[in-house]
Order: sequence, then structure tokens, then C-alpha cells
Amino acid sequence: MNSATVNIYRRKINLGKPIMLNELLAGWQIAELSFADSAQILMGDQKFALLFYAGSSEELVRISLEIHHANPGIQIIVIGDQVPGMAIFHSKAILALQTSEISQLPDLLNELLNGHASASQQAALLELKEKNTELEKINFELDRFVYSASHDLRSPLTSVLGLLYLLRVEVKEEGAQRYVDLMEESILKLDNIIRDIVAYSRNNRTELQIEKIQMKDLMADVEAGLRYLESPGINIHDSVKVEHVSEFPSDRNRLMTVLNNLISNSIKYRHPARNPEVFVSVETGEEFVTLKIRDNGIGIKDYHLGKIFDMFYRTSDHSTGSGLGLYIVKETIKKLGGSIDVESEVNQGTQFIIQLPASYQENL
Amino acid sequence: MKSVHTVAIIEDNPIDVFINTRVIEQAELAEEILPFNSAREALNYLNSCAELGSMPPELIILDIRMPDMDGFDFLEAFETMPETLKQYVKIVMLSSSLDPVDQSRALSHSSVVAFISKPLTRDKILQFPI
Repeated sequence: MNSATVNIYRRKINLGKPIMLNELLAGWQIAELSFADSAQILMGDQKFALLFYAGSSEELVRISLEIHHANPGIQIIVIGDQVPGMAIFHSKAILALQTSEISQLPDLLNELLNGHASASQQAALLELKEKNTELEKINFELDRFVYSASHDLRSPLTSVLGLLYLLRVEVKEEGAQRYVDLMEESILKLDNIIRDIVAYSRNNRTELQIEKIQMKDLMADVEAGLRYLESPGINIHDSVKVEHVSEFPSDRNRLMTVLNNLISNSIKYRHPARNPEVFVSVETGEEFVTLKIRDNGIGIKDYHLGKIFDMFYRTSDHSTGSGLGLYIVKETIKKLGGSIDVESEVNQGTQFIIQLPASYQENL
Repeated sequence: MKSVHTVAIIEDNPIDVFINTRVIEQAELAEEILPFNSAREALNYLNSCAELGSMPPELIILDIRMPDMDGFDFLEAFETMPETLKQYVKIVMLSSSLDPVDQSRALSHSSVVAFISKPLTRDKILQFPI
């Protein structure tokens, strides 16, 4: 609830005679009046609501006037009603006038209302600005926190990965290699969960950064990032086929997050009987850029399809991830202003169809 | 990659110092490895090189997050060193940071030739632009 400012205007008053309403309202740009008859003589205390155009502005203001006959003169209590979309005047003002001053009432009221409206608008703007600054600060701090915490979590992991790397180079025993592989796999899994969380938090808090995307360059970076999934017989570069296209505008980091997740799923959930293949195609249209990512993996059963984009949803205990990957994909595409669909056939493969805007307003 | 005479490692975590030293030895990147467990210590060493006119390390492998003086503080202090020294020394940043700001900030320094994610491996050393 806003605290209402009460402006009190008092004047010396020295006479008491009946007032004609139309005399009172002369010069007002009245839009609506709760009184039927504007020629009414105001005797005794009266209360009515009216809707009028404040000053020269187009803005409608609704106020209630309470006219109290004092002796001498009148006292008018102006009460602003809070009407959404209308000028903000939610305070109470008391005008005490001499009858001879009644012709000045519209001007006085306008001054009062306009002054108040702009003052309270300014206050509201200021408040908004402060809130915004505060939010930006919180965002910035949260950003620092996420990176700092993720760094601290990853530091020991990268140390262990380094030691495992040395162990692999220096210890040649067959059995030891297997243990090293399994340890490395576990650590990478944990590292990927941390990366997922960072990607999620980043997508939520950062603005789009639109630039021209060269699919070839982008895919080279995506492939480099997925090299950890390689094992004997699995080569990322050989598995991923990209249909080359002209450049299009998008947010590079976000697009990488999307492709990283989808392609790593294609590799992780490959069919045991064949080499994994992922086809990435891009069509640039007038309105949309359509990306299709199709694989020859194990496919997704119908009853999972509706839920795969849910947070923490995992199709089985054999799922290796955090259950965040496709959720992040969906959220990231939402932020890009696009949509994603999935088609899948068990044992045949899965295709994700992504539609992104073909142009963005900003930064181009 | 060509091998260098001396490489300095600035890294506060002793396990990472060990890993980096071992990987550099195996890759035969340098004849001499100088580990510093703080940026300040390394900076003092470089200053003494400049004063005495002795050869500074050709390559510095620099961690970012360290107590007291971090990698960026080091880079700023490094900028103020004599021109001849700056041109001789190349810096590779090595970090487990996922922050794209860290990367762009590091690469904005002309002495920084690469930003590498931990852990250091032979393959990464082979790709050093030196």
C-alpha cells in the first residue's frame, strides 16, 4: 500500500452563501459527473464523484469532492480515487475557499492534481529505478556467486582429472587403465552437472547477445566441447554431419548450449548395434530459422516424449545425466524466442526440430 | 610448440603445481621450471630480473583465482614492467573458470597468448601459440 500524501490547502474564509454547482464546475473539462443536474444548488454538505481531464493533459482523473459549507465560505475536500491506468492521485486535499474565489477552483485543482500526479509519477519512477538498480546488483552478485561457486567446485575436479591424466601416462598396467577410465568418467559426469547448472543460471540472467552465426565455426566449437565423449570407435567429428548453410543471427553461447546438449545425448544414447550418426541441418526462411538434429540412436518411447523437457526428468535409471539437459535446452530456446519439437521412433532414432526467429531487433 | 628455456608456474594449489610441472616435464616444454605459489612472489622475481638484467622466464603459466593477488592483479602489475621484459615474456592463463568474462578479460591483455582450461595436458601444451 502506498502511503498517501495529504496536502492541505487552507484559506481564510469569510462568507457563507449557497453555491451553484455549474458555477463551481465552470471551466472544467468534465467527462463524467455523478450528479444528474449540474444546475443544482449546493446547499449543506454534498459529496459527489467526477471524472475530468486534468489540465491540458489527455489524462482522465477521477476524484471525489466533498463540499462542506463552512461559515463563512466553503471547504472542499478532494479525494483522489485510484483508478488503474489513470493519473495517480491517491491523496486527500482540503481546499478552503472564499466564495469569490470559486472561479479559481478548477485551476487550483488542476495545479494540485497535476503537481501531485507528476510528483507521484516521479516518485514511482524513482522507486522503479532504485528497484532496477537493486535487481541489477543482485543479478550481478548472483552471477559472481554462480561462477565463483562453480569454480570452487570444479577446482578439485580438475585437479583429480589432471592426476588421472598423469596416472594414465605413467602407469601402463592394463587393469589400472580401466580404473582410471571409470574414475575419469565419474568426474566428468559431475563436472557436466556443474556446467549444466551454470548454463541454466546463465540463461536465466543474461540478456541475448545476437551476432551472425557461422554454422561451421560454431560446430567446430561444439565438437571440441564433446570430445570427452569419445572412446575407441566413437569419433565425434566423424559422427556429426552438418548441412552447411548461410549465416543467421542468434546468440552464440545459447545456441552452443542447445547443440551441446542435443548432440551429446545423441552420442550417449546411441544404438549399441551401430555407429552413432547425428545430422544437423539448418534452413533459413523469412520468418524462422529451422534447425533439425536427427540421430540414429535408441529412440525415446512415446510415453516419455511428453516429459523429456521437464526439469529433473530422466527416462530410466540408465540415464547418466542430471535430468537438466533437455530442460535447459527448452528454457534456452524459450529465451531465444523459439520453439522445439521432438519426433522419435524406438530403435530408429530421434529428431529434434527447433524454430528460431530469423531476425532479432537488437544489436544487428 | 617450440620448447623454451624457462617456464614459470604461478599457482597456489600445490597439487596443480605438481600436475603442471609433471606435464611440462613430459612434454619437454622447458629446460627449467620455476614454481611460484603466489603472484606476488612471481612479481618480485620478475622485478629482480629487470633490475639485475637477468633473463626472465619466456613463458608464464598463470592461474586466475589465488588469494591476496589474483591472476588479473598480476597481469595489471605486469603491464607496468619494462617494455623489453614484457615483449620477452608470454603468458598462458590456466583456470577452471567457466566465466566467459574471465576469458575475454584475460585475452584483452596483449601479453596473454592463450586461455586454457584445467587440467593441463600434453595436447594443450602442443597447441600453445609460442
